[in-house]
Amino acid sequence: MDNVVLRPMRMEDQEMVMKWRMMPEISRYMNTEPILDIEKQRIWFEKQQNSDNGYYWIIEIDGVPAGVTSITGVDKQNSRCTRGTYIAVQEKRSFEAITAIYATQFEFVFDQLGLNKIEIEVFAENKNVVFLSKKCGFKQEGILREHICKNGVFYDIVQLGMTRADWEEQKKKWNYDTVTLIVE
Amino acid sequence: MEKLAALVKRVNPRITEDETAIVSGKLLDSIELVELVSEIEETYGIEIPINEISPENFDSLHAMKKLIERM
Repeated sequence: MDNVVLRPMRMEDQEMVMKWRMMPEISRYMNTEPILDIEKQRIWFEKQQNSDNGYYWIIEIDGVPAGVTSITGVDKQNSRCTRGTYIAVQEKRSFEAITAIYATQFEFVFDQLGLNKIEIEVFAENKNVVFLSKKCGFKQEGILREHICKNGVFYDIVQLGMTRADWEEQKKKWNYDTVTLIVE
Repeated sequence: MEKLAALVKRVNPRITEDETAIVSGKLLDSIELVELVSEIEETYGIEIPINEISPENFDSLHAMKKLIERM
């Protein structure tokens, strides 16, 4: 597998992250398609840094910054969080890398953060990510009909969840790789 | 094999039938591989465990055919 490192996102990454975030193939399945400028991007990042309920990493593949992955919405009361990943550099997208990133995050959430559940919401049209999430152990919990409105069009959202028990079951049938995860 | 070849071509028209490094040669990226697995499952009525989604099983049409027969 390519050498994959998840390193904490830094202020100096924001111009790159901003460009990635506004790529049509990336924003297509996000809740918003913002028009960002570097000032807005930096303000967003400062807000993330000042909050204590999330983690943002830059995905580096063979030393090349290639995407973003995150654990956010950490809710200690209800012992859950959400997650997201995108690899913006197309030639760095491999099944091995993306699934290893997923597995690494699952271990982080359940073993290091000690939470009980990861929940995600995926555009129903993003069939490949819904499919991949289920392969990795997520279970579909519901569909939010016409839940997101972008440019006057309403989109259904699929809700998926993975509990600690789901992960324990998944581990029995998945010889997964992990990647280097740096937490500051 | 023709049905399988057509599936692969639908996902990425540049892949030829005699290709032998479809995944290891990065001719399919992660999204395209997931799409292919999904299409194969739906077409052949099988479920492919995550451990079987590997270059060994998806590098060539021949390897994919063997996998489908095993499932």
